[in-house]
Amino acid sequence: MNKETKQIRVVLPFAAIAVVFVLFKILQPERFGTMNSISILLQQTLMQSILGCGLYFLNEMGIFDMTLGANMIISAMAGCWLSTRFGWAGLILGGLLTGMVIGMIGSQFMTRLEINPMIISVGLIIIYEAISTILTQGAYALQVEERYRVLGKAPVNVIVSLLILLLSAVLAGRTKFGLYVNAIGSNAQVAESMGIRVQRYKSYAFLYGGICAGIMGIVNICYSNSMGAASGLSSAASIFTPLMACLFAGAYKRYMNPILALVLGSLFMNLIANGLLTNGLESSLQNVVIGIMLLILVHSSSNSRQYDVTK
Amino acid sequence: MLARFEHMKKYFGATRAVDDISVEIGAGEIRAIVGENGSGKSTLLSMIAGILEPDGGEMFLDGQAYRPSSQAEANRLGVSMIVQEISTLPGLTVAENIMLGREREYTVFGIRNLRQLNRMVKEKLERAGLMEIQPDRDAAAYSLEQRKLIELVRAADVEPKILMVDETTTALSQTGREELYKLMRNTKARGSSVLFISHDLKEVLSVCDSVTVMRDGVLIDTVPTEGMTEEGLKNMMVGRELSGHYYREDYGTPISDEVVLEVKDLNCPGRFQNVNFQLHRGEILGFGGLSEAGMHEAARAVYGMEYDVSGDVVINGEKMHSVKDRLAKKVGYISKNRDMESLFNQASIRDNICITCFDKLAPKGVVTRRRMTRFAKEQAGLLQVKMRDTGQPAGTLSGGNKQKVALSKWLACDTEIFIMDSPTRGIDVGVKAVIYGLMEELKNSGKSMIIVSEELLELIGMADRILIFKNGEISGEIERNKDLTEEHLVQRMI
Repeated sequence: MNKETKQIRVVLPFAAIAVVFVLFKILQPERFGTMNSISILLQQTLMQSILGCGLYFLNEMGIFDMTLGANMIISAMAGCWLSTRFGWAGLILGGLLTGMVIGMIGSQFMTRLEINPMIISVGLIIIYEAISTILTQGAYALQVEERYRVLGKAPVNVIVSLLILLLSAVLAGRTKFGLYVNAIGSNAQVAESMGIRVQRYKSYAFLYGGICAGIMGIVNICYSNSMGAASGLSSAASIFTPLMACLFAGAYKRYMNPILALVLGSLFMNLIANGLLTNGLESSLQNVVIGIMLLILVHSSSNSRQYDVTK
Repeated sequence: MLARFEHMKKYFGATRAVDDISVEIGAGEIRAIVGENGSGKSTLLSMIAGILEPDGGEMFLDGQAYRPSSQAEANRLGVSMIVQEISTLPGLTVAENIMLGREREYTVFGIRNLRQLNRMVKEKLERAGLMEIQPDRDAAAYSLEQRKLIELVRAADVEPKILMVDETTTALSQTGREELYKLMRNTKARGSSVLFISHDLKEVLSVCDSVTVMRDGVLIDTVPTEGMTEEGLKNMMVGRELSGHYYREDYGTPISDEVVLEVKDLNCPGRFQNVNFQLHRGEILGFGGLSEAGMHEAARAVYGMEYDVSGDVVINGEKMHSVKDRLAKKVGYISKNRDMESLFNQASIRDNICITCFDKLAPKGVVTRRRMTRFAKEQAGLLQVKMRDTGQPAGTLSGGNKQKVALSKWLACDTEIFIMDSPTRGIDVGVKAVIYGLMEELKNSGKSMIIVSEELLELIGMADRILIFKNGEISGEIERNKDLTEEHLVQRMI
């Protein structure tokens, strides 16, 4: 692939975001793209990207872990519940540690059991969702005290998100962990023969996923004031946008740091969802449009294959 | 004595892959290990390299007990191996591949210094004369041969006490082979040793000091190469007298006028151009040339697997648009890259064989496993595939047996036109004889074949006509004749 082609591919997601923004702005000049809606859009994108970072490393190693959404919910609830006893420490450490413990439980199941990860995921989600119902103790949702809500408001939520994104970008692009994640995703058997401890790095990825879910849980409950119990695998839906952004990041990692691609992917989908909403399209149809747009974008990034050497 | 391996054993179920083998390697020795496919050569080397754990035996290196738990540990202890399969990781850059497992050398406070990494590897590549390979490019962007050369650089970089080379030369052109021989000679000059697996006995006799012969997992003998002949080695390998003439012996056999496949103005920018030829019924058409001459890509394009191709491929008067069209016309393709493009390594032998003829096995869309097993067993039996049973994963077979499965897959579905890229790559003389015999049988039954090969004797021995590729174009066409020699072909190729 020549340099120009690579540059075009780097510019493409930025251009797509700009085009979509301008298009919706033309269609709804009064309602779309106001300062307030842009602020909300960016906050949502950044916060969702925290979960995306957790998913990214697992995804790159070929592990499809759907439990991260449930992990986020339970971590938020645990943090919320512990905050009533231990204050800030309970909220932050409680949420974070819960995320890590759940991440490690997933790791043990997924790396030690000879069962399809999808089945393990579904089984664990059912258990976690049941726990979330127990934690609400019959109430619809757990509410966090008003004083903690500063964590979910700008600029704190933005700063927290940016810190996680920065850490993830460094991990992905500049550390042994990121390199080994790529190596394991490329060919676990060869990676193992090169002395990479595949199971250990998979466990690290689960742990990092748990940390991200815990942080996302804390920020999210502070942002929206409450966290409701999940049931019927509804928690899996919460990872839809981060997961799509991860897939986009995986396809685009040849052209830019994958975490930047992840944020762009997430922004792109939120932008379209927001634009379609302001144009009055119902949510199910919004998902159809988002899915199609994502396919087009990922396809454009994988199209270069035919120009690469394929001997 | 540099290393001693005593009573080495490795069993896979009931199969005794390596059965009580003891070998000693002297310092500064290049030792070949030869044997038929499935004789246990690669298994023995894999145990020494820390890839497989021995089921018995002891190993000593420099007089010390040696038992690596992984390939990385073996590397640290001074044993490195270049394996038959490509072991560079796509998705990682060339530099990352070469330095994999040695990140400490360019990492400060946990952060990898990519500039330093690329600079270090650029120097290594330049020292190896591989200026065209960029350290910061994805390894997947390079050809099979270039990726093998990247592995050579990786292996050389650790200056091993024992360098093991497992059937690597078949993936290399003459230039690549020279690079490998240089690496082996440098290793010997340092007082280190080389263990070299190759089926090219001529190469073994010219490059190595001694040869260890294995058969069915046991050691037959270790002999010096001086005074040894190819015929002598072949007989030791197979345990019986082998006729040296396993190629076709007929000359002047008329070829049918019926054109089964015609290629018109086939072009692929940067790879090949203006490729035109006709393939007749019952003809074996050879593609010869240097590795990078475009013949492998042209063969892929004839099957419809190459991208960015213009021109026409016409089979029995019909223009082809896709691989599916070719399959409907009973065309089969066996790739040079056996593990990546010819076989489903994780799938069973049964599934590999039955996949091309599912419609034949299940005309109503349903087939029982018993029927598939019976069918696969029959087909594998025709080519004498050495296997535990048809449920065995294809990836666990030796190179020659994998190739037999790849062939069986196409034979099973009554293929009319075979496109075989390097059909005997990495295969021992016994299996070669089986494959050449099969080609002759297919030809006599009216099947047509395109054989792409870098082994000139194979082309001379088997093809009715040879198209010589040079710089992506057909530079000449040579008819089968008794007086044809390698020199004739080389003159056209270079």
